[in-house]
Amino acid sequence: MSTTVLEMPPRLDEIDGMVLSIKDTARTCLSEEKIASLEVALSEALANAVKHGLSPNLDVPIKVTVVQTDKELKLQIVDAGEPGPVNLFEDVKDLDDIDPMAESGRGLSLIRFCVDRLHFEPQGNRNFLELVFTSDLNA
Amino acid sequence: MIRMTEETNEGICVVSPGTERLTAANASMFKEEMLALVDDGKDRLVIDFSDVTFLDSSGLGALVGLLKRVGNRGDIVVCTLADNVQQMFRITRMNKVFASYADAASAVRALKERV
Repeated sequence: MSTTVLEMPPRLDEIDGMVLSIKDTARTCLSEEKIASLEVALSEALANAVKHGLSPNLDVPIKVTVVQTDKELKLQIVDAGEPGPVNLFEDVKDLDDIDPMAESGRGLSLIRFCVDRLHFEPQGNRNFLELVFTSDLNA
Repeated sequence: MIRMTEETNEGICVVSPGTERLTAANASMFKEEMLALVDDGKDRLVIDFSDVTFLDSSGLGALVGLLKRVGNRGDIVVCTLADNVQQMFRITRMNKVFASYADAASAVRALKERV
C-alpha cells in the first residue's frame, strides 16, 4: 500500500495541476478508460470543494490523500468549507434525468457515475469525500 | 481565449475554445467571449474541439448557455471531439443536444445545407 498526501490552494485554477498529477499516479493500477473516469470525478469534486465549500476559508488548502493498493485507488478529499448535508450524494439525479438544457447541476451526478464507490461525510468544520476506483489492470 | 479560425460567406464561424481544458477555471470566460460573438451577429457557429483534451460540467454548462442564447435564430454544432470529450458528451446526453462532426469542414458543410 502507498499513501501520498497532496495539497492545493482552494482556487479553480489550481485544479488541473492536481488532477494531472494524480492521473499520472493512477496509471499503475487503472486502465486508460478508468483514468478518464477518475479525471472527471476528481475535477468535479475539487471544483465543488472550491466553489461551494471553501469561500470563507481561502487560506486553508484542500487536502487530497491518494491511497493505492493492489485492489483499488482511493482519493480522500478534505476541504475546510461549510459542512454539506450528510445525504449530499443520496438523492443525486441519474444523468438521464437531468434536463439537457440545464446549465448546471451535473457535477454530483457525474461524480457518482464515474466512481466505483464513494463516501461523503461532513466532519465538524470540514467535508470528507472518498472516491474509490477498483483496479482493473492486475485482474 | 477563443480563436475564430474561419468565417464563410454564409456567415458560419469556426471557433476554437483556445484551451486544452475547458473547465470550471475558464468556462465563464469562454462563455462570455462566445456570447460577445453571438451578440455581434455571429450566430452560426462551429465549435472546433481539436485542441481540447478535457471538458468538465462547467464547460458543458457554458455550451448549453450559449445554445440557449442563440435559440432559434442560429445554429451551434461541435466538431473534432477527442475520445474523452466525446465520452463526456455521451454520458451527459449532450450528444443529443449538439450535432457533432468529425472535422470543421464536415460541420461547415452540414450548416450550409441547413439554410
